[in-house]
Amino acid sequence: MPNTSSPEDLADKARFVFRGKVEKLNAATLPEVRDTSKTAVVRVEETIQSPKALSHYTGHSITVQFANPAEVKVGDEAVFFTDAWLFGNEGIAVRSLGHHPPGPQTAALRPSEEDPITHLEDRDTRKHYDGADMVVSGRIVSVRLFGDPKAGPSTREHDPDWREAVVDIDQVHKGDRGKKEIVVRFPASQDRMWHKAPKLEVGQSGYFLLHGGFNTTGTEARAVPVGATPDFYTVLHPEDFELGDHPGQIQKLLSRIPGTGTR
Amino acid sequence: MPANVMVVNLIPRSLSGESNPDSEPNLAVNPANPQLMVASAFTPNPGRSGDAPIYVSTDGGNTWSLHAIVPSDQMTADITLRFGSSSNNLYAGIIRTPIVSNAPRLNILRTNNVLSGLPMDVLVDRTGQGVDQPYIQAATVPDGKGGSVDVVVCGDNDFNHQPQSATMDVSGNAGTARAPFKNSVVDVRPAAGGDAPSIRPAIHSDGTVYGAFLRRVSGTTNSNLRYDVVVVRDDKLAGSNPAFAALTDPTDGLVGTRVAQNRLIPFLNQPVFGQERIGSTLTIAVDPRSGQSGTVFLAWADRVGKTDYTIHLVKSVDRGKTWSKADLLTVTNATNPAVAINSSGVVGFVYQQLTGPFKPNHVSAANRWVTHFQTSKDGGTTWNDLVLATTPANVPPNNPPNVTLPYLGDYLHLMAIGNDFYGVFSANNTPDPANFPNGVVFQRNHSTATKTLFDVDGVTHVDVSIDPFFFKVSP
Repeated sequence: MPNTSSPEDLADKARFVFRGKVEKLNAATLPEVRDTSKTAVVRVEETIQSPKALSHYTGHSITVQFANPAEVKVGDEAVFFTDAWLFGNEGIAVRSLGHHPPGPQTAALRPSEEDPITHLEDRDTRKHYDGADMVVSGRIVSVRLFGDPKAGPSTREHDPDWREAVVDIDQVHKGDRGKKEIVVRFPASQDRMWHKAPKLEVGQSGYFLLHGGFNTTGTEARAVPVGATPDFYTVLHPEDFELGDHPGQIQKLLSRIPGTGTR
Repeated sequence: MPANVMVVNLIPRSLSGESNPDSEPNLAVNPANPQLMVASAFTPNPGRSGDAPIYVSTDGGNTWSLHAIVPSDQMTADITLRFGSSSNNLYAGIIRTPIVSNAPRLNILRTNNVLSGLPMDVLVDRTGQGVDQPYIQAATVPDGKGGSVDVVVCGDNDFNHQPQSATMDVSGNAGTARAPFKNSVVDVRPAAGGDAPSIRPAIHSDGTVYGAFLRRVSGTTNSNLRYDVVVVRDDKLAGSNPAFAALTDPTDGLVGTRVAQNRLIPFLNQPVFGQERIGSTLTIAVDPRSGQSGTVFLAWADRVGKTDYTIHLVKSVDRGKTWSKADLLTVTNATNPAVAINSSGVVGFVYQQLTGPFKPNHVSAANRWVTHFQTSKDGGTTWNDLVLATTPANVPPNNPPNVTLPYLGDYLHLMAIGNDFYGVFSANNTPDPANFPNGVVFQRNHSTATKTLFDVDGVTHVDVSIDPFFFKVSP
């Protein structure tokens, strides 16, 4: 759907954003795409934001599936906002979330100093930061088991095996600035459902993106009502914790947000 | 590669740069068109967002591509796949992400066109206290009115039923828009704790449906858990009331034949066994031939010594009432068994065995994961062994801070259509011909001369990882 959302809104939803030129309608670059009634072959002229797996296609033709293919014609140049659909031996196909003609708004999508992969990573980190209830820097002073010590052996392969870390706060970058100490729960399990979650250790210092409302007690209900202050937070996403002496995406972001103050 | 054996690495060339641990594979071949097949693994959407992907082949498994059509955020936490016998409908049982609580979320899905690019439809969406490891089977059967219906049976470990958590989600008409499903508990005995995660169904077109599960009988720690191996049966396409109550144990008179009792099956959710975890290993298959639904094969793994993990394969020829006293096969230090019977009555049996000196929590260059495919033309008396893969068990390392489980998978899959066996397994992806004695085809960029993987640029080296491999054997 072109033009119903702004370029910035579309760029927030789409993973693979590129400037391209429509080469063929009702066509595909991949034999796996049998129904070409909604697809077109589009040449990627410039990649604006991209995950690594889609970052190799500048100068190549790819297949784009449109919700309404009547909105494009051969020769059209546009910025396409897309998500991954199909990875084959002969290339890739993506689904269009929308497109806009090149212009000042689309030109503003990509800071000139950043490569497309970094650009997407930074956008993701910013969204992740915006979704966090608190962002703090501090030191882990203890880690303990959380759960019923009398519970029998668990044979649930996706059991998170919760731990509870106590963090002495050095600085609050977002959220309740009155807090000096905070409880953070994390899954110690290495199961595929949890293996990317940070595994916190006593003595580690760093930056925490903290999320409230996750129920760690075994049901699907939220632990606390929306808007209430939780008595603990969770870190589940790999970017929810970053060691202070290994600057990464969190510290990079904080250095760019006025008022958040990095140490 | 021998003419009757095909082994193909599933990673398409456009993903040559990936080094994800693509473990725990599953496979569905469309019986109505065996050129069309789909496979799954713990493969995330390479776009780092959107729907989870499955692998698709439209040329009988020679080439594969990855399609993001599973409605789950980037990847699933479990997935199994099956086609109806003649409906062209594909069904999936998944544990859906994102994680919204402690409780795993079951979805049962369907599509009638895997190539459309449209996300699969959701037929069942259940969480509550959580549901785990859906293992799905499907069959298209006559509806008695001149048409046909899809019967779908999905075994799952449903924590909403405690402690007897072994259940089956059943639909007698899953191809319709409404696709009604009913969840039935199949473990009726008092239990000492939750059943193990593996709950497996097997469907025969004559209406016989078997189910197998591991019922906990005792245990105070994860190291001393003991289980009965139980088989249940339903003779009306899992539509009886009560369902799966056709077999009773000759000793206690309760529903479900206890094929083996009080077996030690530790649940060790750490990389203790060739970098893999252990704790729940089970497979069941029925002879698909007309008039042969009474012949059923069952395999599980338990510990018979101090540190081993041993597969036992047994057989019943009287509809699950009694079972072979001795194992047809006993395989020490092995996991991921899967059994299937073809249209000639040949039994296929795949498993992955850890070779070399075994010490719990330790792996070395002397250890290998060897994927065997055995066939028997005499009902399990004698066997012919094919080694599909023999790969280093210590590479890639599964060490902190990057431990991920399962390493190879808590299951793989084997099925038969006509005379052919089709299967999938996960293994170290080093492109070394010596690792694949019956041949292999890699789609992703590689050099067998230097035993190296390359990124899409054909130059940049890519680390060895775990990949899914499709295989087809025509005995």
